[in-house]
Amino acid sequence: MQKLSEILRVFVLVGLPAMGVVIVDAVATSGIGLGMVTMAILLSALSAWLLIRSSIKQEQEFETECRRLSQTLRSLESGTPPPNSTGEGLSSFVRNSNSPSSSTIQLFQKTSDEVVEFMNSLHQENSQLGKSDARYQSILEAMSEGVLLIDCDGKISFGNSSAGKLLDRDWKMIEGRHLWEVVRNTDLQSTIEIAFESEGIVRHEFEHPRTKSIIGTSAVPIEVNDGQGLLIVLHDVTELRRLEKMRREFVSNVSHELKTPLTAIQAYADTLIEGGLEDVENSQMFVERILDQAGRLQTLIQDMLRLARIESQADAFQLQTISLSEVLESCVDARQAVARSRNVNLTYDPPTDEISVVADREGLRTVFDNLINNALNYTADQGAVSVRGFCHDGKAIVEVEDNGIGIPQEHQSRIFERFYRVDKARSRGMGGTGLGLAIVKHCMGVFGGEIEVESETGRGTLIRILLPVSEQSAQLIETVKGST
Amino acid sequence: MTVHMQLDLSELHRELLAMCTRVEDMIHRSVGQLSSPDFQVTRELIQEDNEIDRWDVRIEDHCLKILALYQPVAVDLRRITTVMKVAAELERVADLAVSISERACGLLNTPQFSVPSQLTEMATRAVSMLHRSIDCYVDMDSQLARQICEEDDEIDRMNEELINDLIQRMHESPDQIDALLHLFSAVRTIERVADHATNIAEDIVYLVEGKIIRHAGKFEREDQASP
Repeated sequence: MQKLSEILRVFVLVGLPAMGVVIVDAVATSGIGLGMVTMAILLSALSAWLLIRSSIKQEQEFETECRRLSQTLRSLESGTPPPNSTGEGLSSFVRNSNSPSSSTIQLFQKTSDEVVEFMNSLHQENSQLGKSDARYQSILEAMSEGVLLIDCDGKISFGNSSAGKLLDRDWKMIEGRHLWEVVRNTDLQSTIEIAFESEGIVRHEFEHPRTKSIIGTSAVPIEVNDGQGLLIVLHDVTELRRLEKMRREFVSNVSHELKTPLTAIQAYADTLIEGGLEDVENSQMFVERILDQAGRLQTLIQDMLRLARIESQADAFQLQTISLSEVLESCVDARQAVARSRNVNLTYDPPTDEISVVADREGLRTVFDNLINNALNYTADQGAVSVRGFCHDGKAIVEVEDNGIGIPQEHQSRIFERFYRVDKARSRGMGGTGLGLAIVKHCMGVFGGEIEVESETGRGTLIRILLPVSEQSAQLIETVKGST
Repeated sequence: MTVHMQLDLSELHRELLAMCTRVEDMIHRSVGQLSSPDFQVTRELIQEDNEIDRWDVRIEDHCLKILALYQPVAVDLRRITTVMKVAAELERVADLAVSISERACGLLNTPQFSVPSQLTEMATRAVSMLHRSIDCYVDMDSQLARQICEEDDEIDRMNEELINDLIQRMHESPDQIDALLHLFSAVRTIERVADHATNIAEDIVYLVEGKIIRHAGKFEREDQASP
């Protein structure tokens, strides 16, 4: 349809004027016959047809060239490299063409070559940018620190997956959304508000209410999309703060534990000096108390030294193959008297097979003594403590179970820390240095064993010790099993 | 007019989320009280609860104003009604936060008594349900909302177990009856927090899908029973 209109246009422009001229001439001369007029009309029609044909050919070539250019642009847009040929068809078309518009076509050819060249270089730059973008993206994703980029409107421009993990949020479709909407954390929000108003780095720490982890944030002003945004870096400092707290508590606990017997000794000594010595009846009791407290102080210092030696691996343990039941039995027997005095039923369930473990005899005895003592201390009158030894899955297992007060869940992970007391007021009254379980844990570390706690408040506690069975014993057990 | 309504709606959205943040913060602190009760925190929570009450009224006023001014339809109407309902639920949760905190402080009179670990576990779950139901509102995620509705059954089961356990302990040691009653009340309150979280999740299903799923199971059973 378009072509037909073009043909008509050329015919009107070229054919009709030619015909008009011929007719006017014929009328003017008026001597020319009808045959001549018909001839003139035919000639003008022929010339018009020739002109139309040449024009159509030019248009077709021009169209082909345009198509080629558009194809090149499309291929660049889709990311595939464009074809190498540039404007050859157009050049030949321009060379062969005698049309008056060839200068326009030349200009078009030049422009199209420039466009192709420009698109080529753009494509190269794009692919390089794409590669470097992917590299930075993977670096940010691999970071353990959370990175958040906030624009001037307070919307999230970027956030890596670590930020999502630290803030405990499903990190999908977050870009372009407000932080107050996605994260909803009062502390983080107030840090951002302060950081927007200040010029330097703003640092803050907060505890995440759900994960209970302590998150350190630093917010730095940064240019984002032609406005002042914020770059926020989040890092998990929970472990660091936990260790700091443990160290602080240790210093405070150790000074307290040392001070208590010393204060008592000082008070009794003062009383004796200020006339107490003459009171024969009471002075004897005071001196006995001084002796008790000095003994407590000595035990404490001994425990501390022992722990320090085990920790520094300076305590030379004599690791040898020893019989588990022998050590266990002697430990239980030694505590029977204490159990009876406290009205606690202490039972012992020995292993069915002879189990040998590689450990230090004295060290292992300390472990069992401490565990049984703790069980007896925290079990009420008429309570029961049972000690069991057995072999399971290639490991020697010793369980000390009581039906005492139990350990609340939140304290269970901390009872092996030095001087850690679940109930500070009560534990000191029961004696003990507060180092027993710390020593047990370190000894188990040296013997290559593990320790587990199962406890429920009001129901009791079970402490399980898992020790690797010595090779000889393991072979023996296998033989026994095979023969039965 | 639509532009103005959209501006008002986004303002309302921001206001509701600010309320959510505050209420979540309150419930976290009140549940934390169970392991370390503190009268000062309880006093602060009572103060904050008053603010939440005002917030609830303010949001309702705002919703009514939008309804009267623009007479919205379809999703806009659903959003406004959902905001009104969610704000009311949050106001109740803030009241429960104060109640849990008061019950926890009641345990201070019996220092040897400690909170069972199942209760803290139940509280953590209930609070997580509340948090995720608000996430559903933010993300317009009706699938997660339906999942939260199902989680309520687990909380009900835990509630039943804990209540039975407490009754048994009351029989065993009547001297601890005061502390056990406080605990009993705390368990019920936490169970109600989970109920409110479920209500919010149900409201979100309505917001997204336009379907009211409240009591749907019960209605279905009734329909089947009476042909």
